[in-house]
Amino acid sequence: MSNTLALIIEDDEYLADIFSLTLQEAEFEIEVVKDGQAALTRLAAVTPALVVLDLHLPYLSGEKILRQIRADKRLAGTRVMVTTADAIMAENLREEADLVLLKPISPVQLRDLARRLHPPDIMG
Amino acid sequence: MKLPRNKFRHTSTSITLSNRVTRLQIIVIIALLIFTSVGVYLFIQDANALNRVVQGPLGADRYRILREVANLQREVLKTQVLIGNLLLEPAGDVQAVTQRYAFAKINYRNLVAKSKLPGDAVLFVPESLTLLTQIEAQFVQADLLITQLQETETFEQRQTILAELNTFIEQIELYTNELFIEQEGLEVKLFTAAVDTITNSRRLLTFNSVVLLLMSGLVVYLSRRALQVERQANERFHLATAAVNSAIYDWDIEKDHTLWSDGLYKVFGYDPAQVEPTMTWWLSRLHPEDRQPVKDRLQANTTAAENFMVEYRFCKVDGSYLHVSDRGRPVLNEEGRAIRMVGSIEDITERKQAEETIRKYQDYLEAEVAERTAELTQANQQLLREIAERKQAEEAVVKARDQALQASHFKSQLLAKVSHELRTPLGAILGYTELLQSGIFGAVSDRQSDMMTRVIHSTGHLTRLVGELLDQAQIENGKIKLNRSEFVLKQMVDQVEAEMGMLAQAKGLALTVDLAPEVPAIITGDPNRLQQILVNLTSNAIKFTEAGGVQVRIYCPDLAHWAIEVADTGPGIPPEAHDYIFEPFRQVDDSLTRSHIGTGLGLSIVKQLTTLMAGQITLESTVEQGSTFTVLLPLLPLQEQIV
Repeated sequence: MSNTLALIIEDDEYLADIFSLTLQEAEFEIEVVKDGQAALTRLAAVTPALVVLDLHLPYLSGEKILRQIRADKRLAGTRVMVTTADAIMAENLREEADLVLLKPISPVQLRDLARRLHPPDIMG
Repeated sequence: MKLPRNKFRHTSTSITLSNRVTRLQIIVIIALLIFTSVGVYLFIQDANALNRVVQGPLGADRYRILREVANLQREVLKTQVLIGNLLLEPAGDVQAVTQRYAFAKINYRNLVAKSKLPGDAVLFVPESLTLLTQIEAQFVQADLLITQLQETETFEQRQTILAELNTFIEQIELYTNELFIEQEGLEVKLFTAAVDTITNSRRLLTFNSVVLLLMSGLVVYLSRRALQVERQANERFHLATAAVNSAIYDWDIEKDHTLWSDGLYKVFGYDPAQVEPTMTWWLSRLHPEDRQPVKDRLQANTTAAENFMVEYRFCKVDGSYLHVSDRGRPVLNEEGRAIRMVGSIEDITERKQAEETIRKYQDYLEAEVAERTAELTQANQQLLREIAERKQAEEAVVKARDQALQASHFKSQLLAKVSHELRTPLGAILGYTELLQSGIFGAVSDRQSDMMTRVIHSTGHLTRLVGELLDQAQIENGKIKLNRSEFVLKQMVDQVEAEMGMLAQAKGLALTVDLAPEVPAIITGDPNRLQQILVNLTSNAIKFTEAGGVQVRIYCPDLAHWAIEVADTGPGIPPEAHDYIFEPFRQVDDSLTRSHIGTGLGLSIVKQLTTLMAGQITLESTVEQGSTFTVLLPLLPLQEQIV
């Protein structure tokens, strides 16, 4: 069974909702966490196919979470989509992330990109 | 310099005097030569005469011949006597003996007579004189016998007397003979000595004459030489005195008598007749102002026997004054008191004038310097005041700048924060609207969908404005960076054309985009920022143009550049606005700013991005006809790696 888990790490409730709805459209299983610490805890347990990562998070910044993911061999197959309202940070993380999206993010665009990053398993 | 005394007399006199001395010397020498020559001549004459006497017919040879003749005669006489004796002997003749005696007597007398030399001298040695006395005594006895013989009658007696007489005669003849021999030797000696003496005398005389001649020659040579040296010294002295413009003096202090050199007449123009040889006259020629101080000085120096050195003005014959330097040296007597003052008065007018000129020039320079210094001091004070003022102003400026920087920094931070904080709610608006439109929450009518599209467009516009605010903030903070890569230009241009085409269409404007064939397909640069430039310029043109169209042209003006040109048919920009149109938050006027939506940052960002890309932006505009913005960019070389 192919992995279709998408972990959305976003402290803004509306945006988390929009991302969830959009990625459900793209046939991902959705999990949402609201802060950095919770994100790390969850990432220790699961191996998501896609992580939608906000940079401005309580407790632990998205930047650090990205480093943790990149340092973990178990998560080598995990694609990371960074979402941020900070254009400068967006520039800085362009190398490390698979994709950097500057807010506001069009759900249509997000869906298309998610599909391109992780094509859904037709058979599943 | 110590000068001979005669040099202080009239110069021509000194030459005459030395000529006289020389002539006298020459006369003496010539006289000496004549005397020597005459003496030598006379000596030679005498010597020759003596020579002739000694060597000639009257000389020794003749004497020797005569002597030998006399000897022969005597031998003849002796022989005759012997023959007579032989003849008389047998007869015993008285007469014969008497005759023989007479011969002996004559012979002796001849000898004695011949021995008598001029004066009292006799040509005999003292021993011979004893012999003479003995002969004289025997003559006396023989004479006595002769007398007895004549008185005697008897033969025996006569024979005895004759025998005795014969003995005497023989004795006398013997003695005479000895004397003769003696005399002969003396004569030879005498002549030999005479000849030797004469020869020696002649040699000595010749030698003396030669020495005398040489000495005379030497005297003449030395005299000539001394004369020449003296003449040269004289000439040098005259040249020197003529050259130095000096009058040389020799002042006899006790007699108050001064000897002057020709310089006095030459330098000061006096006639010798006008000059009194006294110190009083000299003092009377001094400038009245100088007279007393110079006199005092001279007296002081004379009394102290010191060198006299002073400068004063001396009157020329025409009444004008020359500056002179007087240097005198005292001549001391045995007691160390100055009895004469010897020195020179030199014309130093030219030097004085030169010194005066230099002094005036120095005064002038000093005055100039003082003036300049005063000016400089004044300027300096002014400058110090200005510096203080400027410092205050600078401090104010620094303060203002700090405040401005602080304000600017605050503004940049504010802009960044605002932009960031706006993006999150924009995300929610955009997200929900798109989701609504997509129909996941239920069916949407066409009308509703249109309205949602408007919301989405407005969100996009607002997002751009927020982006511009952030860009401006970044530019002001110097945080903006170019991400250079190689990209396909046409893709970017097409994307912008599609996006802007919609805007233009909405306003009923024609948008044409022309990508010239000479532009390379792949360009090196920051694609996002280049797109931003193109979008900003085009959207700006569309925004301000109400009718007509917007033309976008991308071309290469030369091999090293490419250009983005955006031309519109809008209201145009007046020339006075060309400068500030590129400043942030500025538009052509407030009314326009109000009537057109925008931050007024678009052109400012374009300009700053262009500058960052080492490009240039130019504006050509005619009011009410349109504007053309041209961004000129360098064509960067492609990177080596393949994209």
